[in-house]
Amino acid sequence: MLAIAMMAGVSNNAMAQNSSMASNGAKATIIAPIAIFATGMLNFGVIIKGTGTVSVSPSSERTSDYASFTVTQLEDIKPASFSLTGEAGYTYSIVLPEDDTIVLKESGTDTMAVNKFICNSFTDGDIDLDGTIGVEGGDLIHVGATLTVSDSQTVGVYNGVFDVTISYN
Amino acid sequence: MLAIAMMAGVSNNAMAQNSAMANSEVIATVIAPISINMGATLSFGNIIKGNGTVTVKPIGGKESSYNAFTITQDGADANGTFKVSGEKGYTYSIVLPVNDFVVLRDSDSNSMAVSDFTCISIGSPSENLIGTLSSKGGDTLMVGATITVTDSQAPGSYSAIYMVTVSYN
Repeated sequence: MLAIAMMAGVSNNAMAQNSSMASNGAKATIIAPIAIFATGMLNFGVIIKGTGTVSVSPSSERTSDYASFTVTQLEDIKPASFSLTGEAGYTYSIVLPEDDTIVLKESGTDTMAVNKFICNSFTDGDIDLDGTIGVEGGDLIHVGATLTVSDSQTVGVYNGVFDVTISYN
Repeated sequence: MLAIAMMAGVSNNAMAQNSAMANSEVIATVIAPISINMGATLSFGNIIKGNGTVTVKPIGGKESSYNAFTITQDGADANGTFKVSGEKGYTYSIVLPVNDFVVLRDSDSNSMAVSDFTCISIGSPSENLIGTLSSKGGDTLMVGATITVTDSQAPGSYSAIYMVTVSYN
């Protein structure tokens, strides 16, 4: 659509140089490109080692299927956050990492898998893989996930990186 | 030629801007579980029967509200000790038995109630229910308590077990 409009514009100019008549019925709607920026890391906080999983939800709630939490010595538990810009009112889809693709590593060789990525888009306000750019031309998404911990996990700080891709529907 | 060039340029941009990707860091901190193991027995030593109380302090030493002690034949009075291990530098809270929950008994079921359990953590040495694990992840809890003796207390050896619970703050 955009490409055709540009063509029409160019050929119109060309025609204007050898003819007195010009008419143009072409129309195009130019929209802002969609863009995404990471604004905060996903932090599972402090976890007492054991066998089970620890999940952080897009709304910052942390749950576990074993006694993995201290009471106050938690660090800053939060989902990853991303800010988006694009055309107000347009919808987009979100691609999160698939299971068994993201692994956190500590300074030695030990690892923990991160699975079940989920996200919540601010404007839509629900947990799914669709979002809508807000009236101001922006949106926020929060991404949570589930960490698998083992009883023999090495004590330490684990880090990893994951990608989020968004595309206009 | 110009039109074609424009097309190429526009369609190129349009494709690049239809989707966008960003990555985020993930972090998790795994800590050692907290555990507690029995050390020395809390021992009130030898007590002359009478109406009153005998207290062993968490740092050792005993006192009484009546003339309960001989001069040199006191027996081996001692505060109780527990070894705590966990994640270095972390604080924890301590739960001691409530008053009169622990009852010492002799072989004939005569009894003396134990109350006013107190403790001191070497890692945070004040008499309260908070402990701190050392830079090596260990701590020692020292426990004292008070027993109530009566004038009609049957002579003999009294014993019981008591529990101490620790949990990360």
